[in-house]
Amino acid sequence: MTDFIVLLSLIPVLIAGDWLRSQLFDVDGHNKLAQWPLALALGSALVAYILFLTSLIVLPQAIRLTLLLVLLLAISHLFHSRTHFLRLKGWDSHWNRESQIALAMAVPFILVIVSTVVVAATTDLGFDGLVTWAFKSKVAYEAGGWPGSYFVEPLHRVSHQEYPLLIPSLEAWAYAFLGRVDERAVKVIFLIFYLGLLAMFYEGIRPHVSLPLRMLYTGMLSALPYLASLAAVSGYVDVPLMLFLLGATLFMRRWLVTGKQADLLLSAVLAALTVWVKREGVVYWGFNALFVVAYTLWWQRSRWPTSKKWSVLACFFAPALIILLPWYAFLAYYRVPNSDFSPVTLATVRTNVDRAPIIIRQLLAQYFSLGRWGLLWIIFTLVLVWRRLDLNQPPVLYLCLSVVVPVILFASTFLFSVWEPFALHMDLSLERLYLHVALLAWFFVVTQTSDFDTWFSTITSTLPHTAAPNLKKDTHDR
Amino acid sequence: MAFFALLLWAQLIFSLGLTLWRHSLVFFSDWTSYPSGVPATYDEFITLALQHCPADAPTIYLSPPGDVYTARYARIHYFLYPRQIVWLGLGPITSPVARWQPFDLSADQLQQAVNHYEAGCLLVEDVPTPGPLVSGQSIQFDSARYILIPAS
Repeated sequence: MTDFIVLLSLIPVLIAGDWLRSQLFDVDGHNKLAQWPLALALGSALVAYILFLTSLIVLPQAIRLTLLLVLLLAISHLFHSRTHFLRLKGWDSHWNRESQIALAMAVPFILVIVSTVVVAATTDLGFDGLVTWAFKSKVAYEAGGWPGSYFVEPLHRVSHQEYPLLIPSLEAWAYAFLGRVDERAVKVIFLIFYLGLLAMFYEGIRPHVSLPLRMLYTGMLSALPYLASLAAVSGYVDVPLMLFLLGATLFMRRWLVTGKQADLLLSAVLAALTVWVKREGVVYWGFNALFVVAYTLWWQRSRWPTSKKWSVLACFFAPALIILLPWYAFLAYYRVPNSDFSPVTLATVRTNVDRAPIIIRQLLAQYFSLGRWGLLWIIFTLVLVWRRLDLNQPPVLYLCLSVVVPVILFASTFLFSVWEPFALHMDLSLERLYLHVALLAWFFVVTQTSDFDTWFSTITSTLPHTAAPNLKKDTHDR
Repeated sequence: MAFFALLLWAQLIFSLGLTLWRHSLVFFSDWTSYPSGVPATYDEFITLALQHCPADAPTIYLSPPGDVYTARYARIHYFLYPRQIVWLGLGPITSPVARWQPFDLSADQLQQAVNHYEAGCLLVEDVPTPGPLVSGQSIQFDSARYILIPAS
């Protein structure tokens, strides 16, 4: 029952998120499958942002005020857009050979998803999931918002006071519906993000591959060993971060292909929001920022007028200012210490340069870790070499760099780790950093091998198929 | 393309097999993701602490310093909130985790620390007869752990 209540509590979040999407972004061509993960991301961010701002003003009533505002938004949007929701295209249900093969491919992966859900329901949040993220949400729920005292109390340092608040805000939101803290019930939130991630990935590869391969590739993502057996069943925020990161990458790539400013804006918002999910998000936002600047000022230097260049840069950086400035100002005001890293200085680099061989060894160990990734990184490398000539196309180059650059940047951060020994820090966190980009690596593999579809169709055309049952036809686009 | 298909097939079988095997371990071997290293019975000690430690006074967690106690302290910190939990470690600083450290004390400073924090409760673990400790009510949990309610 409590799980069901938590699930219900996410409905207004989804609707409010869809409202935000409709107000700010003119993004077309999405069906239900793509729209709800986007709504989840934007709705969660909306809840977290409102709770954060209201906590600064009316602390004990902040959660109630957030509930009121978000529910009003959701009800209003639901009323005004009811015909829009009814008109949305549904699942592909055109019964043909493709559908039959896709259905066959779906069976083992439905098994993976079901077993993931069952395992998540029977295990706890994991260490960080409880003592870091769930502790924050407990504080927020019991204080009615985010109390400034939490961020300065030394005795709470174990909960990483400097960590961002998006997921803990959503957990506190769920607690508000439940009327109590329930660290078991909030697992539902993480499962919804896992399913949303798969839905967004499925939709993201839609233009590149046919239905059976969409099912295959999405299913293979769902069963990625580290994702399915560790990340998705815990209360760590890596899976939610992956949803935001995938969204930011998909829309950035779309902008590079279509040039539509709405795609860039949505990418910018999602990239900035990764920083609200996990601190590592600053690396992803930073990479995207660098790429946009380089693409605008160098690649398009002779094609675009100055006004367009300024427009593009403003489109990317303005959301970051709005979304991130209040949070960083807050951290600076309360002098919330960074508990894991020393300041980034040349002196620190010189002092810790002897860590480099250890870092490289750990990176390689992750790369070849079959138990975590299977053959993913080997497949990625082979495809990268095979399609290296495509790297002169900005969308392909962007996707490749979105995998490689964060890995290098993350590895570099361990030069500044204050842990003794720092290798312990790497042991505990490097695999999760690889997880975020593993998703993008898989997306790269799929998009760069779209001609595999033709070969696959040729092979499967020789398979026997059943006659189409009398099903209602639906629109089917690729 | 055939080679790519072979790689996909291998990845498919391997991922599926490994994932489903690990999931089955949850049901048959108490496997868990991101384990904290805290024994399953520890929550019973925490439950006892919740029953006896006053909610309006700080609680001191007294243990040797070290990683194994870090995880236990963090779990106590979560479940006993909103109580303030102070981790006092006896002995030299050995905790490799730099983000927080126990306060190291010699045994004869312990009484001063208890008085300083106005502790309403001490959770004592793996500390053999902690020196000139405060007198009070002692609630034994097991051979390694007990709860001490200081005399007011």
